[in-house]
Amino acid sequence: MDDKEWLISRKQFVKTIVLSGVALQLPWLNSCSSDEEIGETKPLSKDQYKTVRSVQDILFPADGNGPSARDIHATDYLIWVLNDKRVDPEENAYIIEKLNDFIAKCKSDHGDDFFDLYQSTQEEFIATISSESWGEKWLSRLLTLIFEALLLDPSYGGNVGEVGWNWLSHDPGQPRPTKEIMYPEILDRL
Amino acid sequence: MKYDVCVVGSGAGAGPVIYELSKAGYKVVVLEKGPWFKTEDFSKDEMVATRRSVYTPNLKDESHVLVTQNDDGDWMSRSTYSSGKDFWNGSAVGGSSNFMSAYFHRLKPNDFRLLSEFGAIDGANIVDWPISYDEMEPYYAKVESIIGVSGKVVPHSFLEPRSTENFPYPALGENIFSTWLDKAAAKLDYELIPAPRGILSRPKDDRNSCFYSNYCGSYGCSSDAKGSSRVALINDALKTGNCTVLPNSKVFHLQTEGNGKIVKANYYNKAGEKQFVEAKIFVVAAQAIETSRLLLMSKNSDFENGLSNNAGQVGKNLIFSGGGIGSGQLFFDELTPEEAKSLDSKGLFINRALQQWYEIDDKQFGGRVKGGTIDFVSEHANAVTKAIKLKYDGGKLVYGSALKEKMKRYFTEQRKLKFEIFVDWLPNDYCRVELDDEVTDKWGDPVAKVWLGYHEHDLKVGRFLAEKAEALFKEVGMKNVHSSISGGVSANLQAGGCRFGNDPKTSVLDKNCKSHEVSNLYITDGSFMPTGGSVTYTFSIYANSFRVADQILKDPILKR
Repeated sequence: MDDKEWLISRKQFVKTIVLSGVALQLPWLNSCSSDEEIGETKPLSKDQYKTVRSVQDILFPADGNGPSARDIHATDYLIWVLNDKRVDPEENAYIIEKLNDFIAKCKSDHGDDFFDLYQSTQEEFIATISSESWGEKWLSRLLTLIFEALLLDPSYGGNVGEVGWNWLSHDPGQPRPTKEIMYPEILDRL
Repeated sequence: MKYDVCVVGSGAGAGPVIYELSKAGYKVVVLEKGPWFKTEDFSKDEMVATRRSVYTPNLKDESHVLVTQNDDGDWMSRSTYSSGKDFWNGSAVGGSSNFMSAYFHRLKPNDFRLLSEFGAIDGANIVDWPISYDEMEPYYAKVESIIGVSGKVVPHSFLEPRSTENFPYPALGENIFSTWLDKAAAKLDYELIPAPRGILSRPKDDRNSCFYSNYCGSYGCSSDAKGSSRVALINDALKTGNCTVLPNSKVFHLQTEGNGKIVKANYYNKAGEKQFVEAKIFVVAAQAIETSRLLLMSKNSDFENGLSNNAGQVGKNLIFSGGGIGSGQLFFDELTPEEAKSLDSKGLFINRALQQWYEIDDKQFGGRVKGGTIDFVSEHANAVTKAIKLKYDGGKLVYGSALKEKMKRYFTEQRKLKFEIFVDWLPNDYCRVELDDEVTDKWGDPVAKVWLGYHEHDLKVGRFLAEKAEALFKEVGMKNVHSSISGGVSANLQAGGCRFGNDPKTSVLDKNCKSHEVSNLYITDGSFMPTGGSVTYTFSIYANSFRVADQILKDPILKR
């Protein structure tokens, strides 16, 4: 499954829910801007943030082999992407929508939030949803964004202290970007 | 102000005209749809180069509709906004030449007479060119000098005739892998040749030589070594004081005055406001697909089917440069430490090619047929791109410690080398450009509907060449050698759609790339090519644009 196929699936899904009007009833669409305690996790709620962070912990764990998702600030990088107005809103809406499906299924299957489960149970649950089409595509998308947090320039918020590049002996090349020629500033300037 | 020449686009097809006309003292205005990135705007930022739409339009604002054939033989169309398959490349002053890899092989004499030399093929619209290699040769030499081509000419079976002994710039630095390829080729009796590049190995005027950044294709050059239209031509044109470049200016209509002559180019500026410029001569070089789209959009009572399209030829016989790819791996633990260190050194080029089978005389083809070129290249250094390719194993998502271990091994314990195969993309009725009936861009104009049909003969030739390349990689001792031959296309390697020819009924342009129907319209991007040879197009587009510039300078309209 590549990113192209993910995009096709994502857009078909969003089109379907918008046409049916269901999107207006989804709690995440209404709750995001009203909770004053959300803080820097917007557009996610605190629980949504904690859930996706725990999913990233399983996808890219602290296992002693290089940095973990937390080491590279993968969740905060995801929040930055979700707030990027230049990214297709449908793409980001799909990430949050599937996060809500994930949360609902976890509560249905285990009676608890994902981030409150034992790690072994979390791993079993991720294995289960990764075998389902929607889950595989959603996790694949999260992995792509983890890769961006791991391997793009640290100026974008991930790859703290170039830990991703150092781990993989990756030479990022020269010259490195300065603020005014980074995304998205370069687009605003030109 | 009325300009002498209005050029639509600023890439490889536009640059030589801008350069030559400005230097000759004519007032030239350039309408470029994209922004104007200067050299100092480029860095090795994977986010900007490939992860977001910076050098290309946002697909929500501007898309294509691509038409492909499924396994059942049905033709299916889908917007690139829906599919996520981005078909843009290099929307900026200098066009996609800013971001090219710059493999600069000339066409061969027989490429100009494909029909005469090799005969017709059912389902392919093959024709001879209206000019010969000899007419193009001086302009290849001119490009080598002005744009700057580095390399080393060596004798081989299909070396094209040259007016100069060698390239003006010596070959770029090479990775140790190149010497391993040389040794393996000698054992197999292969004619492996140095691959010429449109990249400076020594400084030229204001341009510095290559600094081996390891990030060439898809990236803008920070030393100006890469011979983009922007640094090699437009910057010099600007020094004359005769050239005006208007970035963020999207031409949507060429207006005629009922006498087969264009009077205005109508465009949107960055604010989305309609503007126009007037000129004596109009040169369109917006890259093949967008050039055909612009002509089809420029309808009026004299050209009900689109400008210069009364014979119905605009958009037809689109072609791409492609054929297939392959790869192999070398693992460091199977090399000496010194060999591994040399192989892993970043930035140096492979720069080897095979043209031994540019023409094939093999019994499986039942006679002599046109073959192609094999270029040997490094895997691109883009880290995120490499990582994404590792997240599946046999169709199953890999994550967790297993993924991390896989990444660690891939990035640090091996090097992947690749080969790219270029065959003739046989022109056919199912590879063409139309206007889409439903999808529009952000300005409300119909987007290009691009049919991507290919000819099975190309796949057969591609497979033949892939076997040769795979054998070479195996002789080197590479592991996991495989190839993929398909009718898939690279959006940045496009040509055709406005063929040149002597018959106005079967071509859009005359032999000088002037419209048969519109007296002051020239088209100088790759659109003119009726067949494309078995190499990437940019070198030939540059050369032809220099050739046409000489013809425009003789056009009496310019003197009035």
